Amino acid sequence: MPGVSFVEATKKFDDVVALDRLTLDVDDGEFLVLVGPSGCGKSTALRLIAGLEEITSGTLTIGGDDVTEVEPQDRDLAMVFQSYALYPHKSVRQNIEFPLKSRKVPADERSARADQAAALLGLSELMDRRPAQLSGGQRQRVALARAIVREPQVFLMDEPLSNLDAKTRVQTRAELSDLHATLGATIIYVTHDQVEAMTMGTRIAVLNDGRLQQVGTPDEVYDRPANLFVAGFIGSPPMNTVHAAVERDDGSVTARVGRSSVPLDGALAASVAAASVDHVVLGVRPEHLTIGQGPMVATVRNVESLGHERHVVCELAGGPHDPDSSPVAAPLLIVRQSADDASPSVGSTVELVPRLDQLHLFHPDTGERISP
Amino acid sequence: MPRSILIRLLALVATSALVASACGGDDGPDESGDPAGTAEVGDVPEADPESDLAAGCPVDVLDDADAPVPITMWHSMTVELNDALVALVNRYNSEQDQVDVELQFQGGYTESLDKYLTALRGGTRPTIVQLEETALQIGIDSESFVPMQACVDASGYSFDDHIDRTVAAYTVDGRLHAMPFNTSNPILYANMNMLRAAGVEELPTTVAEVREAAQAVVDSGLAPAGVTFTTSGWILEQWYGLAGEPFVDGDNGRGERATEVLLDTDLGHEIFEWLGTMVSDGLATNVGNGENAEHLIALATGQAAMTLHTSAALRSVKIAAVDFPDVEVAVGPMPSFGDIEGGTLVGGAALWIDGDTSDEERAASWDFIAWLNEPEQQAEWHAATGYIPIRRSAIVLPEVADLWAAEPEFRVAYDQLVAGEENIGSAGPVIGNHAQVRLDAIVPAFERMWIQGQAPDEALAEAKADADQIIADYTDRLG
Amino acid sequence: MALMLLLPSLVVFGLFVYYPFGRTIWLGLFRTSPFGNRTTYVGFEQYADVLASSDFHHSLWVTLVFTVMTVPVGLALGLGLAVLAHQRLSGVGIYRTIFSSTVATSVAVASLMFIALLSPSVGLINQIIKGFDGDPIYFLQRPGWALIAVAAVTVWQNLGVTFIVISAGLQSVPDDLYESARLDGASAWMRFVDITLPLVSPTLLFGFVVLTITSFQTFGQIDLLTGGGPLDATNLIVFSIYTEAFRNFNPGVAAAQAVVLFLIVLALTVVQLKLVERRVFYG
Ligand SMILES: Nc1ncnc2c1ncn2[C@@H]1O[C@H](COP(=O)(O)OP(=O)(O)OP(=O)(O)O)[C@@H](O)[C@H]1O
Ligand SMILES: [Mg+2]
Repeated sequence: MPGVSFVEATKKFDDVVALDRLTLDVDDGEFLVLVGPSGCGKSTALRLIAGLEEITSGTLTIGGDDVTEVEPQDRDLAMVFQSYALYPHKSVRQNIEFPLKSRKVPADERSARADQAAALLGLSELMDRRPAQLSGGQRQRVALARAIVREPQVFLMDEPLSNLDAKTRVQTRAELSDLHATLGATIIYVTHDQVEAMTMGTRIAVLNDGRLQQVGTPDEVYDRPANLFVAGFIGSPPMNTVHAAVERDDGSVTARVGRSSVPLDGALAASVAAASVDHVVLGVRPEHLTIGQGPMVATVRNVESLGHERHVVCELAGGPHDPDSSPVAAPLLIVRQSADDASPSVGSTVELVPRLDQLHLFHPDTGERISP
Repeated sequence: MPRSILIRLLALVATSALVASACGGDDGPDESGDPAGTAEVGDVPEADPESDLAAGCPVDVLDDADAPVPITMWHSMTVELNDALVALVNRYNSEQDQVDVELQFQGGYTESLDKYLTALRGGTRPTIVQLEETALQIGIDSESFVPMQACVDASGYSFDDHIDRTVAAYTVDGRLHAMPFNTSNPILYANMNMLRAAGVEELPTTVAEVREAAQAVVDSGLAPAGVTFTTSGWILEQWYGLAGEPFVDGDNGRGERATEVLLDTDLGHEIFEWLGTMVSDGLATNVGNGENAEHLIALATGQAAMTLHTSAALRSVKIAAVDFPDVEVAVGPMPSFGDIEGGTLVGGAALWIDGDTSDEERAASWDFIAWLNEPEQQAEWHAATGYIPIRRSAIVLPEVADLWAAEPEFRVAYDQLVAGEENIGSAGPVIGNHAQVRLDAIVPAFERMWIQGQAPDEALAEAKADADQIIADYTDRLG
Repeated sequence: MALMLLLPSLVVFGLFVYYPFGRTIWLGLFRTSPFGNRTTYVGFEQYADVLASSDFHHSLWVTLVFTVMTVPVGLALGLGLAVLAHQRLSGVGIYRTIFSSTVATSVAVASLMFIALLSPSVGLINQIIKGFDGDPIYFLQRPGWALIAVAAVTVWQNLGVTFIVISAGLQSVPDDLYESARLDGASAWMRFVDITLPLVSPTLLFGFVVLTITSFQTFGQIDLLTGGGPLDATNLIVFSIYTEAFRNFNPGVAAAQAVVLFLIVLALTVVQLKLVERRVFYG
């Protein structure tokens, strides 16, 4: 019912195209995370839904109705601003009650519902304080309480956790997920933090430069990134990508990078053939590389220990690389090791073993995924 | 109305806010209105080289000075008036090598007087200061000036060629205190086209004729009123001057210090009665204090046919009138109550020599002031500014003669200054705080009469009480 | 040491503020000759005379009426225009420039403009009145109108500064508060009352106090437009002190009046701050 749909929605600020022909369905009750780098149009998308900006072309429907002419206050949605936007001169109670007061809810009902929302978020003790007298996490929760008190059908949240410290962030993340489960409302959540994206959303929509790159469950997006951008953006450390030449020999197909040669299995070989390219971008996640006896030869450049795991930065040996497409051309690979594994010494030459069933191939020119 | 006209009217407003400047004129450059026959005055002082005063202004020391004596003059001349003064001073400085005059603009007359009085209590004082005519008693009471009579006596100066009244105006108790310089008086401005349309062929010369003309204008429906009045104490005093009657006691304040205004006289009642009924009968409108030139603008825009205003504004009025082709500006002498037994008073400003000065500075000041009074300079000054030339022989000089031939209106003010009789009435009143008497006693009386409909007799009585109180308070504080 | 650091500012204040002020109080104790050269000690009698003087009362009363006429109207107009100009509308920059332009207009120019606007014979307003067959109104020449006219000039003259100050106050209110309020369902009026007013209240209080003080100090418009008349209708207190000192040559009385005025303005300001402070939200 109150799903939100963009169809070919474009938003321009003068010459800046903030959103470029966005087509996206958000289902009723879904927790959709909008993710992407700074300036990619996330907030713009949210503000379009809220009615704070007017769409330039295309359509936007909420619950199946075109909302172009509908004022923000009539869209039955609540927004949690990145800055919280708490009313600094009002007490916590007055802040939480404000949406009800605006809608002429009687005073006693107002205060009962505010108490309820406050209790849910653990704010009951703070009702008489002003926002300035609250910690960041508390303010965050006041903003949430103010959003939920009216029980809207759709929540819009714009990087609501970005100002919190790591601990409060984890805690509030859990609270939000619980809230979603309890309220069953549609939540559209903006972040540029891919960990938040992976952990919170039922689906993720990745935006770059105003364009939708991919939508899917966190696993789909992680396991089958639709293009090099998504591959590089989702995952930390990001997927290793190297430019490779396709070599065919006796029916076996390999991807060669300098002195390294990675065999491609049947499905991969078929996709290369289907794309009819003689170069590909080969992608492999750091956790799918091990140091041992394998087809890739590299020199250890750096070892970063994170305590529980280790990132080994390797440079492929003798790798011809294409200076025109920079991320692809980087001959550096990161290997993710368990802290228990033996650490290679910097400067030593090692062989790397990729998991052949976890290879990703991308078109060398368009960056689109070609592997299945 | 077109913007350009508005701008010119605003310029008129701006110039009429400048206190005084004037011109005069009638036929040819003759000596009509010769005051030689008006005997009894004696108010024009003679030089007496033997007097005690003469020592205060040793004019001869100038010849012994080694270098030009530097003197400063504070003045209030703006725009073209300033230009004309600067030109005179530059010429003076270059034509002789005994005196070097430096001009210092000090704002309007009121501001300049304030500054001077403040400087008396500690501060840099000028050598010469230009003060308006109402400051005469203040100037005397300040006891800070060298009486001009000292220099007159010391130099054996003769006023034979001066218009008597300009000298008499600054003479108190037989002594000249300041030297007349820029001089003006009020004249009648009229829209002759409207008067003619109403059947009035000649400019009125008496107030009775003004009333008849106003009646004719109103009756013929040409304008809502015949005359515009400003709430001006100056005009009231001028009528006393024309009638030759003193406005204050003590021989118009010139024999003894004034203690009361002589409003409660037949003339006073006649004036108030006439002014009051003109308005209450719908023949005249009160347009305020005149500082915004509203009385002139009303004339220009056909709201009335006549008004009284300083001769100083004649040039501005003529310039502004170009934009109003329906209006034919005519000017005439100030209309009188009955026969003229005195004359219009001297308005404008005079030059004073500061007392905190060396002998050389006094001598230098006198040299400069006397030079400014010479016919050549007066002619140049009149042509450049419109102020009345105060020397009789100035009017035959080409600058004046040419101007008067081309624009005879410019001699009206001169002619009425040399016409009439010289007596204590036409010398004009000398009052302690003259400006306050005008603004706090006379003007409110007119306003009560014109705006609130107070009976003329009551307005007069209150005005007299207020004025007398003001004079008494001033005299009392003087100690 | 602290004294050493304070010394320069003490000297400056002492020289330019406290000394003249002290002298004014002192002068107020003396009956002075017109030139201030001869003085007679009369003590607080002179202050008592001033407080008892009906002219002084009248001037205070006129000033009070004038303040009541100019300050609330000026603030309300400034706030209204600032709120209008704060909208995200096309061409709003032009309005901002127009609204703030009176800042660049001197009292003299403003007065001259209003003289032209209000003139009975040629003023625009009277042209319109005449267009409807009405009789011209002598705005500056009649006691009933003059104070209103001068108040209008003053409001207009102050509008630029008021507008700029309040606009700055509005700028400091984050946009997202308004956006949030819209989503919370607040009407335009509620947003104004519940968000704008409380958040610009410190600015409004500042404007209120400053405008009140300025209106008590009004001089230029009076000097140029009415000279305190007609019939003292516009004889505001500072103008009357000025005439007392410089036209009536009565510096002693003027000094006593000035001191009384200072105390009144001081008291008024304190009362304003105390009364209103509680209603003001300082971020
Ligand atoms: N009001 C505006 N006027 C002009 N350009 C704008 C406006 N709002 C956004 N933009 C531009 O539109 C683009 C998208 O902005 P948006 O705020 O949606 O980015 P974002 O994805 O939310 O970035 P961030 O993560 O930094 O918040 C940016 O290039 C931005 O500069
Ligand atoms: Mg954003």
